[in-house]
Amino acid sequence: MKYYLGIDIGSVSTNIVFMNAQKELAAKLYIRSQGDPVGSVQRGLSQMAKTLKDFEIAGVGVTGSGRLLIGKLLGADLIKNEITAHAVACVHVMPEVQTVIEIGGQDSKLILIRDGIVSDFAMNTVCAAGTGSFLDQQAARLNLHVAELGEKAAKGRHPVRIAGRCAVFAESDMIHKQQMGHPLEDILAGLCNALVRNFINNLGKGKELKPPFIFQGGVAANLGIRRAFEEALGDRILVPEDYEVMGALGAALLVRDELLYQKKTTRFKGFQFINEPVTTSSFDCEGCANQCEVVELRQANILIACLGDRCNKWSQRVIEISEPNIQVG
Amino acid sequence: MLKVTFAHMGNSYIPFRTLLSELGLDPVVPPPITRRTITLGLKLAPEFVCFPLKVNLGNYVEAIESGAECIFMAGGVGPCRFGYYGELQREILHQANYPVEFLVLEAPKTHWTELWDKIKRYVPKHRLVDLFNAARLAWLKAKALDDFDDLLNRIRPLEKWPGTTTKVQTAFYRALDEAGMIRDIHIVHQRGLEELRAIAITPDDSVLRIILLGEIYMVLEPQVNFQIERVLGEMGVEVSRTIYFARWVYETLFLSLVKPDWRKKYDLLAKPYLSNFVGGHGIETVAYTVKAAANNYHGVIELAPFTCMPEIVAMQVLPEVSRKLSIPVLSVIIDEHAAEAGVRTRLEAFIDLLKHRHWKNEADKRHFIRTG
Amino acid sequence: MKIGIPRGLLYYWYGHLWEEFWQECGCETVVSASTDHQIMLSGIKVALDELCLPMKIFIGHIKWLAPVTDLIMIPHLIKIEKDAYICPKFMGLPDLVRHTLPALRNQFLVVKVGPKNIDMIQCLRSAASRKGIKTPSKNNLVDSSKQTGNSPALTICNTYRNSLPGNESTLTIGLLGHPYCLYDAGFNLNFLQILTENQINFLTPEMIPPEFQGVGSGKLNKKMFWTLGRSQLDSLDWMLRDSGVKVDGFIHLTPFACGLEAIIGDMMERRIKAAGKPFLRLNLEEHSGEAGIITRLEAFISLLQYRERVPKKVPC
Repeated sequence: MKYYLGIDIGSVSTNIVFMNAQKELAAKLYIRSQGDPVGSVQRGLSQMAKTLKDFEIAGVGVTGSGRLLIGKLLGADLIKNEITAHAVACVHVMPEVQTVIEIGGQDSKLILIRDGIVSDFAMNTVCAAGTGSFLDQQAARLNLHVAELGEKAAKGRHPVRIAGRCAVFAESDMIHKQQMGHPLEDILAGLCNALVRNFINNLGKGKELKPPFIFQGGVAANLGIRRAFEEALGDRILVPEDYEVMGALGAALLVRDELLYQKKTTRFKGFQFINEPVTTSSFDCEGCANQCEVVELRQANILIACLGDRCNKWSQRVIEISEPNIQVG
Repeated sequence: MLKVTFAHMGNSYIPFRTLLSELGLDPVVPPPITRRTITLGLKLAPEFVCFPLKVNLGNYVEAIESGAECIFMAGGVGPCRFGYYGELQREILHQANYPVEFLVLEAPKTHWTELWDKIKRYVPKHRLVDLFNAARLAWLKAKALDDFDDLLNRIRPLEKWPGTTTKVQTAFYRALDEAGMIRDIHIVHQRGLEELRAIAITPDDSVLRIILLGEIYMVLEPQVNFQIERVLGEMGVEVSRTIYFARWVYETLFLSLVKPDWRKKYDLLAKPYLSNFVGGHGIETVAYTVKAAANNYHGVIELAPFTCMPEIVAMQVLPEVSRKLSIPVLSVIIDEHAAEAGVRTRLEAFIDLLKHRHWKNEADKRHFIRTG
Repeated sequence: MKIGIPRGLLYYWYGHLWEEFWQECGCETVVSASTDHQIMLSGIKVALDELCLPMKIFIGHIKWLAPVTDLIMIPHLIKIEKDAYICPKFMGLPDLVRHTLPALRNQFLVVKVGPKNIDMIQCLRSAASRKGIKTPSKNNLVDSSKQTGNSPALTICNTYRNSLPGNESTLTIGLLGHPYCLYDAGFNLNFLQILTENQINFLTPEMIPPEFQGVGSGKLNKKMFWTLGRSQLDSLDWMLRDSGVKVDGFIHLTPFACGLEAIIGDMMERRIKAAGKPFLRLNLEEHSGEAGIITRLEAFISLLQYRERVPKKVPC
């Protein structure tokens, strides 16, 4: 069986999918990155290699904030930004989609799609409020499981007012409201409303948010947030079945199309990569004013990848068969 | 010899170095902007002041460390905050115990010789004719840089071997910085352009063309805008800057004197959307976006420092320009907290957006021709 | 004809004059309600995120006025004195509101002041005639640029100060900031109220007598080209030297990320520290938590009281 491998390496989670040539999802995996993108990809791939028997990799697409690193390590055929990857996956799931809301661990995105192509987008990376990490943190503070937090929030009947612009203010507001004796459900519902309001004010300003809507990313599992979005937008919101791995799915779809279009075969370096631990080291290059932070990755003491140098001075030392012309974009 | 320094702004250090040394001063070019520069500036500057001022301060501190005694800079009369940079920076540096003199060159009120009178205090032996000669050399260098960068941005997206143009650029900058006589400058200038033209390219007539505009410092200084021109070029995008240093100097210093209404063309273009002067490059940002749409560019990227007042006004207006004239605009706000990875993701996604739009438009056109 | 005047931005300087003018023209005037959460939110909802909060509040006031008035006055104050601007956002205000509230375009009555003609009355007249409103031929209104007594700012000041107990042992705080930060209780979370409740006397920039205008800012090396910068530096100088009241400390109220205050605030802070006075800056945002502001204010007041009792031992 031939599969296209899609990997989304985010700051909080790493998602991996295997997709067959008919664009059907064969297997998916969502694991925490735990600050170790390389290790988590190794773990994830070995886990998946065990479950699937007799397969061949037809192409590898990577996306997410760790895409360059992992892309180089694996010999990816396509390295794509996560906005495009998410959009492609959404159009695949629902061709008529017009608005995509994506909330992940460290950032949130709003993508507008018209006639099947991206027409506008906005991305928030500056503020932690309204991202998965912040919800995780609040759940931990309240001794709740994240899923529980969402369920409880969805039960809130009289949401309290919480400042949503800044994580610090939101937290102190919540504590304040708890001390005033408001029920937890209402506070959590208030938190969800605030985060959604913040999302729409921050990313949706001046943009036409038209149905159908898709809500995806790790936070899409949160019932409270989903309900708050439906209320704010006044329309039903679809959460796709594979909402947590849409980025990876997008990467797999993109690499499939790309390889079929270019009639090329994969450059994937194979699964031996997952067996040996990878050590990383970094240094500041003093070669010029850029003072790039160069990262070197070694496996069994062999330099397997090098990145961060703008001038390619250090990357050139990695001798490879087919290194140039990775399509980045 | 008096050791004089100035703040970095892109490649302007090359003409400035020439100007000062020709006047018999000892120019101390601040070390290139690094993370240390920015950290030094942040320590001294107020939190919500614009990012360029913070980087400037870092430049000054590093230049003082290498012996600079005097800072030369331009002034202004508002409403943009740049006009008050000099005063604020003087107060800040003096309070932090940096013994440094400031020479702020204000636009002359009555006659341009006022400027010379100010400079003259530092170079008593020189005559006006020396200033002219120095300015001429500096001008030729600035002009050469503009020409070179303009051509470079058209070559880079097509280069066969990634990085070749950047290498030629580095060599050209160094050669031009060292050139001393008018003849040398001409030779370096011509040779630079020839070398660019000789770069091996893969011709592509469907290359994406975008306009890069916004606040002057963010547009011109690659060390703070994450080298956006190079990054876009290497993604295969032809970048047209709206601001070039020599042309900007020509417009603000010369054109304003002989033809005070030179800005009218911008005012007229921007008028349906932004009809009032808001300082800085606010009007130009809107005007060039309109122009970009008229000239069939594929997209516009606006760069602004966080809290930049003129660009914020423009930003409020741009969505309507974008909608009405159907030209995609990406606004990128940069300050010390901006992360390179985030900016890069946005750029890549924007380029994808433009590509898909472009393909779709072409397909529609073909469809139209077939059916129509 | 019903003319709406948004209670925002420089309304606090010119509000009374504007009202009188339009009433002289035979129009009815409606001033929007005091800023409340609803007004603030309705502005925040439509305005660009990067705009400052006072601008967003101003837009909220326009929205409040839209259904109850025929025309809404947009004061387009480019210059109100020679050689000085207010702020680039003020200069682009008509463009800003036009793009934020496109549906209300025809309802706007833009009064352009400056860059050439800076006489408020004349500018009001020409704005009126552009909309076909008849202006009375003789007008006994005084030129506003002198700011004599009759402004909403001073009315608000006096109301609060009159409720203070008369004894002289109370602390005095010098308040600095733009008028729409100091007097808009919705923006500053009832700041003046809290001060008076704590029996604290205060001075504001608007209380400066006319003869001291231009003194403080005149001491600068380079003439300042922002009106709101000049007025604050004048007042600071007056409060430090000539107000006849001993000012115990200074509080600067500023909107989060205000471009002008970044520069002016820094200059004022340096001058206050040089004079050995305690200084507190409050950056205000659209968050609803009053608790944080009150805590910091209380801490500052205790610091001042402590200094008062043990004058020389507290380094500041």
